[in-house]
Amino acid sequence: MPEFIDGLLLVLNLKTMMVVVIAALFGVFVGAIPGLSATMAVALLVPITFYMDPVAAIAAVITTAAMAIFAGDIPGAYLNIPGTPSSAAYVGDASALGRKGRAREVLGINLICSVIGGLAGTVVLVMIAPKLAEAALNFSSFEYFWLAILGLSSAVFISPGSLLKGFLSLMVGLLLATVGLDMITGTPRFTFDVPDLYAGINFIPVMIGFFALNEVMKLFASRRQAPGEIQESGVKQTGTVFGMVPHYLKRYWRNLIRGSSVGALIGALPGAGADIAAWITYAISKQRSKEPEKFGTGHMEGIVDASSANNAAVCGAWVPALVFGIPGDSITAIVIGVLYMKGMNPGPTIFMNNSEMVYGLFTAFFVANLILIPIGYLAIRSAHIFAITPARLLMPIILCFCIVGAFAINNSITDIWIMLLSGIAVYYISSADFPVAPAILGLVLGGILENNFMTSMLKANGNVMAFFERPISAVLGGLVLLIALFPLLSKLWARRTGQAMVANASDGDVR
Amino acid sequence: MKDLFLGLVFLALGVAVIVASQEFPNVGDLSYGAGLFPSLIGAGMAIGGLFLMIGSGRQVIREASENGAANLLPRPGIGWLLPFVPCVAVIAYIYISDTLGALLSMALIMFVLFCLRGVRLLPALIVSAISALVISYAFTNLLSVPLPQGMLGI
Repeated sequence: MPEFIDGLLLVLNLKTMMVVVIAALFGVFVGAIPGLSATMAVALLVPITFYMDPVAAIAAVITTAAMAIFAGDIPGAYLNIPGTPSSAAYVGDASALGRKGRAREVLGINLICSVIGGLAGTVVLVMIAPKLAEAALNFSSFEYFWLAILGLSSAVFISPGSLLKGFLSLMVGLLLATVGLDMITGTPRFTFDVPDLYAGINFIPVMIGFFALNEVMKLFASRRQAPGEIQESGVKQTGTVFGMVPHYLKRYWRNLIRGSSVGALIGALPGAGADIAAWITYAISKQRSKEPEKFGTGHMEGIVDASSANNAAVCGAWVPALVFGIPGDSITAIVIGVLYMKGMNPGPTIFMNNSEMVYGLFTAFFVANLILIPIGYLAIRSAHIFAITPARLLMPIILCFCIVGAFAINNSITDIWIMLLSGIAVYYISSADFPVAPAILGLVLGGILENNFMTSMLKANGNVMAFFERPISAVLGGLVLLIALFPLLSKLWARRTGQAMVANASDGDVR
Repeated sequence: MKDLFLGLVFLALGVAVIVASQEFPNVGDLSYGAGLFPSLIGAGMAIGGLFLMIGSGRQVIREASENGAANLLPRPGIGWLLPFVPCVAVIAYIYISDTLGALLSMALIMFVLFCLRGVRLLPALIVSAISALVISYAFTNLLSVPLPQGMLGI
């Protein structure tokens, strides 16, 4: 109990609360501007969190992510452009209502659903994570090897787009992870005699390159019609933000519960994040609805499902990240970097060694989701600001942020080069429709994967069958196989139900 | 066409990784060591790259027989250089920040980029000056990052 109080106090103090409020404003701003995604918001935030207390840093990340995912709905309702990929599933419905002058009403629903979804995801996290951690204490290198494989294979197989390209993208990440001194023999690998590379590639500059520089490059490639420079439609927006909320919540409470729980579970699945959660719950909602023909024409039902699901997924993704150190999506991949930086090594022992930190983290989740209400309300009322902030004014500023942010991690010029090269590489491969998420997961998990693989190989004297001998590792191995068959199964399911749900999520996880 | 090229790149990279990995030492008298994992990655890359080449090679041939081979070549023009403008700016920062200092370099880079994006001169000047001041103040004073001071620091 005293740990619980300590944890509360770690968050509920003036300094941390101020950080949370600023992070929330930052998250709204980045999320609401089309072309800037929630992942980018978090990647840009990391160099700053480097200088904060651990709990304040984590609280800032949680708030920014939750806020940005909600704020992605704002330009969706007003301009028919999803602010983040996670809002893309229901942008058709939201903008149809926006054109009828009901944008505020939609956003009110979005906001409340996001809050409830986020809280549900938090409850799932608080309930499941410690229990899972107890079980995970018995895990050996074999189980961790399979867990890492599980995270990586779901990133490749569940994420939309070409499997082959996902796989190659993953290989790039894994290769980057091998740079530096080998952990068993101490040999330098792929360091090209650059001293800064001996400790390995720091993944923060890589992420800034992947998610921020890449976007800046895309904007410069797009000539004049950059997203965000499209004029706001002349429809007069009337209505109150929260006026219709009780009505819809009463009508669609089942959707709310379903969206939140399915979203949290999808988020907890390693490798699948908020955008996939939104697409899947929207599809489920349409399939289960009594009036599926109204979907896409400005119907509230799918919005309730999907906008609670994407925020639930943001919280659910922390379950594997905290318990096993296996990220659930690209945001938690960044978070794992932050946790290591702060000396809070993720893994089951975090719940024993750092229990007040964990309570602080749980509190931060509740606070972050609750602060969505006031700040989200303000954002909805002043939504026109986001429509008139042209992306061309922001991109050069973001570029400078990238440079200084990459430099700030180690005060080293090498990190700016790493940021630049990874940005160029990802710009090139993502313009050929390669997904980016597998690469980032490969980079984060590569070290864990190789360590546990080599340890297991040494333990088993090179006998590969040993990977299946322990019961839990055999089950995990089977699960990996199941995920490998997922594309096949989902195709069969799609054929049976007559809708290509996963194929719809085309531009999902690239940003 | 892009896929064909990328497939080739992955194939070459994979083979290079496998070759380089052979030189890493083994653990004790075992037949594997530091090179095992990179070799596996290299093999994955090479095989994946090969499949990508085969897949897109088929498509290229099909398109060439339908529309004539001339359509496959990238169109001439400098449009494809545009996305690399920010990269040039990053490289410029790396080289000029030591002499000019972070503040001036950032202001300069932003100003040039604003002008290239068609922002009018006066707003470009004001926005780049203010943002450079804010960013360098925040990082130097609030986060105590030793950004290069350049000639302003003397």
